[in-house]
Parts: sequence; C-alpha cells; structure tokens
Amino acid sequence: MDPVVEIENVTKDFNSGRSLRNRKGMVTRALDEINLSIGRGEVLGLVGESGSGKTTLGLAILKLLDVDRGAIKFKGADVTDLKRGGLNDFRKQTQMIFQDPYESLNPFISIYKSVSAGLDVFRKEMNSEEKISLVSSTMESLDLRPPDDFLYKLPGQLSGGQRQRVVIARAVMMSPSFIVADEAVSMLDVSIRADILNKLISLKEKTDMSMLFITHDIAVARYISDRLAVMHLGQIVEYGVAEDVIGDPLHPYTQILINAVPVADPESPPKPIPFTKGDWEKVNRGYKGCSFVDRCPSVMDICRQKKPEMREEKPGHKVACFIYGN
Amino acid sequence: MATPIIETRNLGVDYLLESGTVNAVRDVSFQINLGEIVGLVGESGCGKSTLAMTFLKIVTPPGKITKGKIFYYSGADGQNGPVSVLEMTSGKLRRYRWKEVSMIFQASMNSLNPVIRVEEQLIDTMLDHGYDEEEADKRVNVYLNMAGLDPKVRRSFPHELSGGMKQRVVIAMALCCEPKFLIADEPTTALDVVVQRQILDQLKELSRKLGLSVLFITHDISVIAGLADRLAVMYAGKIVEVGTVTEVFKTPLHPYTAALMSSFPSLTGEKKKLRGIPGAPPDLRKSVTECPFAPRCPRVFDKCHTGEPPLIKSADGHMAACYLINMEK
Ligand SMILES: Nc1ncnc2c1ncn2[C@@H]1O[C@H](COP(=O)(O)OP(=O)(O)OP(=O)(O)O)[C@@H](O)[C@H]1O
Ligand SMILES: Nc1ncnc2c1ncn2[C@@H]1O[C@H](COP(=O)(O)OP(=O)(O)OP(=O)(O)O)[C@@H](O)[C@H]1O
Ligand SMILES: [Mg+2]
Ligand SMILES: [Mg+2]
Repeated sequence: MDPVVEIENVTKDFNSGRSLRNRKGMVTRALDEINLSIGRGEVLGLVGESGSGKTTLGLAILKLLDVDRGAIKFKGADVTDLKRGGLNDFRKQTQMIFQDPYESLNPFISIYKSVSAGLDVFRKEMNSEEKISLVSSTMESLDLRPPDDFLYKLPGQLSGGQRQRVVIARAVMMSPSFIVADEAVSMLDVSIRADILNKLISLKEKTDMSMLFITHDIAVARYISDRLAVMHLGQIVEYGVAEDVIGDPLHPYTQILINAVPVADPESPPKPIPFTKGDWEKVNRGYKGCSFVDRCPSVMDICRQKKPEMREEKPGHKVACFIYGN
Repeated sequence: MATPIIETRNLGVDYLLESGTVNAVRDVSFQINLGEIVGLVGESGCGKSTLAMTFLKIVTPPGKITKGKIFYYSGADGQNGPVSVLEMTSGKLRRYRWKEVSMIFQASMNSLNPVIRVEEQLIDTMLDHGYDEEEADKRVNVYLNMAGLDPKVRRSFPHELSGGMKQRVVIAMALCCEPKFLIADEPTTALDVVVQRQILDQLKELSRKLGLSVLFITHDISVIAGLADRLAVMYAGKIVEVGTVTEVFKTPLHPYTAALMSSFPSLTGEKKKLRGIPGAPPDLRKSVTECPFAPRCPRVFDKCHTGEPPLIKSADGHMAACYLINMEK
C-alpha cells in the first residue's frame, strides 16, 4: 500500500506552567519518537490515555503545529518545509475535524458562513448558488435535515450533536484526501453515530480518502479502523491490524484499556482495573525506562533500565514491551 | 418511599425563533431521588441539555420556560420541604447554583477561562461559596485528584491541557463546593475508558457515601448500565421511557429504546454493519398529533396515529409512552 502519510521519529516538547518566578515551568514530552504510516484509503485508529498526545499528533501531521524533531511526509514530500504554493495545496487536500465542536465554530457567524469559508478560499470558481447547494447536500447527508433550518443559525442555537455534525460537514465538503478526525462522533447518540460512521466508511471507499481517527471509544475504533495504534504518554506502544490489536492485545496497557470498556449489561458489574489514580508523580515522561512501569502489573527489572523498542511480535502486529522476545 | 431531591411537573421549554417556536421540552414530569443516579439518554437534539438547564433556571432567550414547576427539596434529607426553583430570588439562586445543584455542561472544557490558571479558577469558585482562602487552597489538590488529575496541573493554564484534562478540571470544579445534586451533561465523552471508569467510580462513591444525587446525560448506554440506578429515555422533548436500569435494559418497552440498544458497535464477535434508526426525528415546531416516533417505528399500528401516547405503567412497574404496553400480544 503506498503511504499517504509517513511519520518518522517525531518528537515534540511543550513547556507549561511558566510564570515570572518559575521561568522554565515544566516540560511535557507530548510526542516521543513516533513512527507511523497511513496508507491510501486506510483508516488508522488512534486510541490511548487522555493527555497521551493524540491531538498533538493530529495537529502535527496537518502542520498546524511544529514539531521539534523528526519528519512528516505527505504523499512523499516533507511537510515541514512546505512553502506558499505547496502549503496551499496541502491545506486543500487535508482537513481536521476538531475535538471540540464548541471551540471550532465561531459563535458569532452563521453556520453557513462557517461551513462555506473553505470554499471561498479554495474553490473560487464556484458561484454562490453552487456553494449553497453543495453545503446543503453535505449537511443533508449528515442528517442535518432540512438544511435550511440550520444554515442561518448561530452555533449556540444547535445542540451538541448537531454542532459536531456541522464540523464534520465542513471537513468532508472539501473532498480532502486525508482527514484527521479527533473524537468526531463522541457527542452523537448511537443511532446517528452509526449512520455517520457508515458515511465516513463509504466516503473512504469511494474516494480513497485516508483518515487518522482519534477516539476513546474502542468499539467505534474497531468498527471504522483498518489498523489501530495505541498511545501512552507520548509513545506508540502497540500497532497492528485493528482486529488483531483488539482481539489479542499484547501490551499490558492495551489489555487494561480493553478490559475497562463498559459493558451494556447492568447485571455484569464492571471489571476492576488494576490501577486507580495516584502515582501521578512517578509517571514522568522522557524517562529512561518504559513509561508504563509504575502502573504495569507485569513490570520487570529491565523495564526500569531501558526503553522497550517496537518489535513485530506477530505478522503485522507490533508492540513495545519487554515481555516479548526475551 | 424514596425521598425526592428535585422534581419537575409538566415542564415546558420553547425556543422562540423567527422560523417558528421549537418545543424543546414538552410537558415533562420527572423526579430524582436523594442519593440516586439517574441516566438520561436520547437522540441528538431531543432536549436533554435544555431539560438539564431548567433545573438551574439558566434557560436564556430565545429559550423560555413556558409552563410547569420545579421543586427542590433542601435540607439534609429533604425535610425542609419543596422550594419552587422558578420562583427563587436572584440571591437564593446564587446559593442554589453550585452549592446545592451544580452542573458539568456539555463540552464545557472551553468554559474555562484560558488566561487564568486552573487553581485560581477553582479557588475563586470556592471563595464565592463561603470557603476561606486556606481551605480553598487545600481543596484544590483534593478535587483535582478526585477527577484523576495530577495536582501539578493546578499551575497550568487551560490551553496547556489536553481535551480530556480540561474536562476533568471542569468535573473538579463542579464537585468542589460539595453540591447535593450534580447534573453531568456528557461529562466523560472526551475521556479514555480507564479515566472514565475512575470518574464513574468516584461519582458512585460520592453518591453512596455522601448521598449525592446525579443526573447523568450520555449517549453511551453502556456507561449507564454500570453506573445508574434508573434510566430515562427522551424522544422529541418528552420522556418516553423510565425505569430501573435492569428493567429498561432487560425489557425495553418503547420501540425507540429497543432500537437504541441495538445500534451500537461491539468489541467482540463478528463485525456487523451498524444501522441507525431510519428516518429523522420530528420537527419540534409542528404541533404533535400522533406518537412522534410513529413515522420511524417498526411496530406502528392504527392507534399510534390517533394521538400522543401517555406514559403507561407496564407489568414490571416501569413506564413507557407506547400503546403497545399491556396490549394482548
Ligand atoms: N499548547 C500546549 N502547551 C503546553 N502543553 C500542552 C499544549 N498542548 C498540549 N499539551 C500537553 O501535551 C500533552 C498531550 O496533549 P494532547 O492534547 O495531545 O493529548 P490527547 O491525547 O489528545 O488527550 P485527550 O484524549 O485528553 O484529548 C498533555 O500533557 C498536554 O497537557
Ligand atoms: N439557544 C438555542 N436557540 C435555538 N434553538 C435551540 C437552542 N438550544 C437548543 N436549541 C434546539 O432545541 C432542541 C433541543 O436541544 P438540546 O441542546 O436540548 O438537545 P440535546 O438532547 O442536548 O442534544 P445533543 O445530544 O445533541 O446534545 C434542538 O433541536 C436544538 O436545535
Ligand atoms: Mg485530544
Ligand atoms: Mg446536549
């Protein structure tokens, strides 16, 4: 499969909590030597702990944020040194569905204005009737019916799920070849979510669109993803065909994650998880050993001494953990 | 008999728009008991957030509470009797909001002020509600920790946090003044399942130990299964089914509830194609002359077109607004 996106050794640090007294603040390694690729027409699911760097990775791929080290290639060309023309073309082909639909729509302009802004920039040849009709049909395809009821409202007049669909409409309307979808369906009820997942899948099948699909819902990840990556504290700890990763999770973190998925049965009580909160002090990033040591139920001495490398434990199924291969 | 903490009677909320009046909440009578966790689910746009906001009397124009009453039962076990929320003075409301009833707003991660440190926002909220400075300062760590956050986060600015971290700050904020009733509107949608579980366990513990009552709005029915005591299902501005979690999961009575239960993807077994419920929810500007679910209902029959069904009690004691209940099979 020819890759659309290639991510090589990407690292990103943030400084935060800075103040006059404490100029350095603390450094957070949001991305720690990430390597991944996304093929044409492929959906790569990305799951992982809150704060593990998923959004940062999505922003970095779309060059909405600069990384400190490493390379990100889009269709073979490095995006880090894209200049005007190239950057414009890159922006035309890529889209982001932001995690927070409340933040990503300007509260003071109408839904129509927000959604059609991209057309004004990249599809100058379209006249206003063509724009209205494209916007309307896209909204309709996302169950925002009738579109006229929504187009001239302000974001504050829509429910959470309606806003989320507006944001999806804005992205897919540009017929991008690559989308980063960050928790794009998290606010939709199951019925509408099912329809929208199916729409995204058929869009990908029809147009060969590729997607990085960030979600905390592992069942949704399973439904839409071809391959799946699991992130923990800035690192990818497991990666493979979605069905394999979910059916036979190798990394202890992935196993815990899958065990914690709520089950829709009031009579089967939630399974206990081996760690609760706390231990935060010890969970430091950029640590010389494995980032999961302090919470890992199967920790060994070696885990504190060096970082586990990604290794192909099964065909097409990689894991970074010392349990394997020794 | 269970003691109520809050109760609505025949509540109606409209949004007055140029294109017509949207009846977002229609005639809802509903009760939440002391120490109880109630789940509220329903299709996007069916009025869940609107209903939740009426409990705090924060519906703003073009929204308007058009009819009905809300009673809050104050005092340790509601012994001070019902207080009419819609008639509270603004002084009373100030105390009522946050100290008695607090709310985690849907996607409220961006309700945090981006230029004020996390700790200051928490401390200010507590100072406003009668805690002294030293106490407030100490409680910051307690509540951040309760929400599964490293206390170090207190020095950060909201824009330096991930979506889920901001969401947890908001959860800490809603709990820090020890409310008796918490309304949580999709509070865990941005969180990974492990953190989600920690927070759900925390809510359960607060409810069991301190008698916290919770209204938990979510689209994720599986979360409700392990959390709530009762479940209410909303459709087109009305509660169409309500019962204990076990009753509703075991024998969903309303065809809408049944459809909801079968349209989410699963983690195990064969990967089946998901199907949403065909058709669209009704236009809430039009007056209702039949069961609002009739046009989409797989089990529709003549009677459904004669008028809107009331909530009917079934054999196991739980209720649904459907003419199929107690009919000969
Ligand atoms: N602008 C910023 N300044 C400082 N730190 C930041 C900034 N943006 C993100 N971070 C930090 O980087 C880490 C990763 O954040 P990111 O938003 O990528 O997480 P995430 O995996 O998307 O989490 P969630 O599931 O909660 O959205 C977090 O610890 C966060 O605090
Ligand atoms: N401020 C407003 N002005 C006009 N209409 C509004 C406003 N807020 C909500 N509505 C409309 O009222 C209806 C109910 O909205 P509400 O936000 O209560 O839905 P919800 O059940 O919370 O949906 P979701 O699950 O998508 O958050 C929707 O049709 C919405 O478009
Ligand atoms: Mg994120
Ligand atoms: Mg809502």
